[in-house]
Amino acid sequence: MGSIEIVTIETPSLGDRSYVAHDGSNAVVIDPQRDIDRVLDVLHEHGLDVTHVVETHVHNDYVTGGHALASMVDAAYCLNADDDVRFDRQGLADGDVLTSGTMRVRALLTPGHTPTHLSYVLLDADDRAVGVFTGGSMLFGTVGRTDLIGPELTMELSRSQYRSVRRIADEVDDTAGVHPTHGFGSHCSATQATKQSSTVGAERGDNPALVKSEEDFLTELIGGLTPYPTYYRHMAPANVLGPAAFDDTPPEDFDLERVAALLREGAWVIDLRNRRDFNASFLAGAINAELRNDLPNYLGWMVPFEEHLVLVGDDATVIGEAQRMLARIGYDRLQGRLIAQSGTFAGHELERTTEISDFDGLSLVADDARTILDVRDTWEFESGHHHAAVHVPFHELPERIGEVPRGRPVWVYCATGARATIAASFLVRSGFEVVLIDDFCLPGDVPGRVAEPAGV
Amino acid sequence: MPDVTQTLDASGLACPMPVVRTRQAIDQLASGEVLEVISTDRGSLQDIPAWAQSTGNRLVEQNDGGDRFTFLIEKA
Repeated sequence: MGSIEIVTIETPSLGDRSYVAHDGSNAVVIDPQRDIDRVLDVLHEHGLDVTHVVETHVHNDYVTGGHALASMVDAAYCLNADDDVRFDRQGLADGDVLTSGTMRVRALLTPGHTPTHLSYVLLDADDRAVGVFTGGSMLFGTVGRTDLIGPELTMELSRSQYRSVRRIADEVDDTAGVHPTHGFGSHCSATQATKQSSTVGAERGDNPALVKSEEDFLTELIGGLTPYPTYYRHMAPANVLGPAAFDDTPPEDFDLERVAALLREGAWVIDLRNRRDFNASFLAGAINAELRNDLPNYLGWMVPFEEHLVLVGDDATVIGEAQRMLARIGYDRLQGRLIAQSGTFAGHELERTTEISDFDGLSLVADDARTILDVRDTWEFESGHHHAAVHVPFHELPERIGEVPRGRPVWVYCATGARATIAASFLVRSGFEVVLIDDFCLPGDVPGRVAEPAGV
Repeated sequence: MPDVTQTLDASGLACPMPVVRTRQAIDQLASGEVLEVISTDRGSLQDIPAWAQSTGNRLVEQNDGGDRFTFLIEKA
């Protein structure tokens, strides 16, 4: 048997990582995503036999592939014994040790991200800590967010998080690699990681839980929490049921009339084309979500979780990628797809066009002739914004759409145009006339004339 | 290929942060110097060239590595 190796499987669309730890023959899989074909590829490539599939916690940001993987490869499926799940598994307690070939894995209770969160210390044959899988506890220069269970528990979990990160630093060797699940763009991270790898020793120098007082840590952590996708609330209930593996069977091909008929009934049609092509010609009611990393997050905010979706895209590959990204967060209910070229919707009764402009174009229109809608997050808005903008953060738009004045065109912008085109299509769906400002308004930018002082 | 003056690793950052960091990094460079940007956000494939165009900085090169993207931008 060779030395111990850790293979990282990145999921950039969620900002998460999964891991395969192996000694050349035996493997332990940590926090696998729903699409376990990517894990199986690693296992086949290295010729590995999985002894254990372990979860650091019942995940809030994705549907796990752990249950399906463990049964497929006939491995033990391990979670904290205190996690209330509806399937057979090996329940773990603090200090329990699993053996996999020459490797051993010790469970370390590290509550904070969730109340029952476990980290796993990977030990070699000499009892040396090779690495620690920290899930949503110790991340790279930050920690996992502590507000996912409920507001009444946030303070208590934040205090637990502080102690848990300190416990990892106290009990695991400085040379051990840190292998978190969150923090690579994940909304499960309290703030975003800026490193690609780290060790316990390196975290000792800059992790806020290790360099700050508990009170300063709590102030920074709770003050810095940003909105998280509403779909999160559906993930834990799905995960305790033991979700099935990702099914990559393409959805049924629908023709234009069938999609149009569904739209008239209020169905959710997701058009994945780029914003230029979409806004030139689309079906009224369709949501324009470009195939970007943020797709699951953005749709999670906009589209009711239980809906049956129709996907529209340039080709089957794009639709297949979106299907995979959506399945990771449990949007399994795809009822059909439509491959659209330019001209597919031309002349159709539901065909719409949204004008695309920029801030220069906006400046030519009188203030009282349009509404300007800024859909960026509050921190972005507060750093500078168009003086006449109405602010409704993207993730609050569905519930606050009543605050957008009717009767005038709505000019909508964000930082880069990505959120704005989704919001624009949502506004059209809601009966507004819209102009998409496909322009940049980065933090600190003040488009148009100088913004009025705060309070005016 | 021009000499890279500075490299910005924006891996793991989500929209709009790769563009935000790119602007901050470009602000630190002199005219004619070249910034290399690394991103894992596929939205960067659209955003960074569009940002370069809107600001007059020249996109010298871009590479699509599937889940890792690199850009060379020469400051105007």
